Amino acid sequence: MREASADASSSKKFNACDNNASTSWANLNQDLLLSIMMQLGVVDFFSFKRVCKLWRKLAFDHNDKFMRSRQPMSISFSTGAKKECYLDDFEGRKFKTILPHSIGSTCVGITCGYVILFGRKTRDFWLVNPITRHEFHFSSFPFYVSKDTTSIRAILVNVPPMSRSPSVFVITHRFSSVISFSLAGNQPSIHDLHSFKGKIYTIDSRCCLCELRLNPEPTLRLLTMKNIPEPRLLRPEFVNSDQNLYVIDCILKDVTSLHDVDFERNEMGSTD
Amino acid sequence: MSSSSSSKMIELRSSDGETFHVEETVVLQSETIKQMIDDDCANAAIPLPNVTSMTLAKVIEYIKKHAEKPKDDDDKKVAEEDLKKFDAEFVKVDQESMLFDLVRAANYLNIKSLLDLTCQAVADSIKDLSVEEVRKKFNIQNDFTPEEEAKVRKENAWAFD
Repeated sequence: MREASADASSSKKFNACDNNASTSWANLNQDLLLSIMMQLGVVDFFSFKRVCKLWRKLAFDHNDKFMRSRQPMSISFSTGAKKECYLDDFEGRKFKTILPHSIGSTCVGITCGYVILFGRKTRDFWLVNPITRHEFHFSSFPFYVSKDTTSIRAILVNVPPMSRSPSVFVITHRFSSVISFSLAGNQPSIHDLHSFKGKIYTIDSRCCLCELRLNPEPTLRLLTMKNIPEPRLLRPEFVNSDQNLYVIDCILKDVTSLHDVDFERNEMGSTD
Repeated sequence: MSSSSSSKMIELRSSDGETFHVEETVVLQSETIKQMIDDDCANAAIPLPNVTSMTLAKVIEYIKKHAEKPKDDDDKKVAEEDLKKFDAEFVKVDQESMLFDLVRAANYLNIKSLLDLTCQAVADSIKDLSVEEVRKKFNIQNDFTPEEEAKVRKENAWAFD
């Protein structure tokens, strides 16, 4: 076979190339395509993912390797009504996009790679990853969230990769001692989080107790309790002694109710 | 160029039957050919069934240039600059298909620096192109369903500013 083409004239060189030209790129083997992919800029990499299924799979399979090999980038927002989001790659290239939920929102910070968007009218939070577009919605807060966005401090406590299970979002206001917790999705708001004897417990507005487990991914396990106090608690919080966990509620100034949590009998008792 | 009378000559034959004579020291940059020589398979002309004569000529131009040894440190700096310029010019090919042939040849002959250079050149040629333009350039069929396409499109909408 190798010798067979020896009789061809000198014009064959050009034919040989031209014939392959139209299909050659598509037939590039995976290793070579990967070598080329690894040389792309970040935004070109995003485009690469959208070309076809094969390229998309290759990009997803090597996503971490690619992203780790890149320089950090900066993200900024325009202050106008259009809320354009800019990405600067420090190589003189700037890109823009409009993130979902950014209209009518104010960007109040960034946490774990997620941009924190606060809805000025809706008073809810969207956390949007500008690269993956993965998003969390936090709509339930036990307390009034101030419209004064400069005073909001927020962090995402746990981001399970590609999971829809509860992620805890913590908000605090400057000059305020109150801390709010929220779970992603349509979950009841968390009024308090408390660590007791090596476990993390949460209490929601209905006075339901849950244990928050972080591994292998964050889940809330409802603790079935008898004698749950009437859901009239305004601001339930946990306190504990060495031996016991209590739920305390400030009904009025100077008037509090205290309920101890009996884990052995799975019941809550009133200790007024 | 840097020919020395003592260097052994190796004969390479392209897929279209053309033969090339290259010094052994130069051709050793190809791991594939080095292996063949080590295995004593290089007594006759080495057949390269995956490389056309036009591509092979370019590859030889590249490895010859990269085999030049600077005489002293001053010369080294000049040579490095010179090599950079050479590389930049080298990948400016008239036909896109030539770049592709060079990538494949560099891969087949296992010449790492040439593979890096040509892959970077391909990556640069995609820079700032739209998805549609990339498909056209690479002659790739869009195999996403309309639903997938919509999802994929939503996923990333960064535009060059």
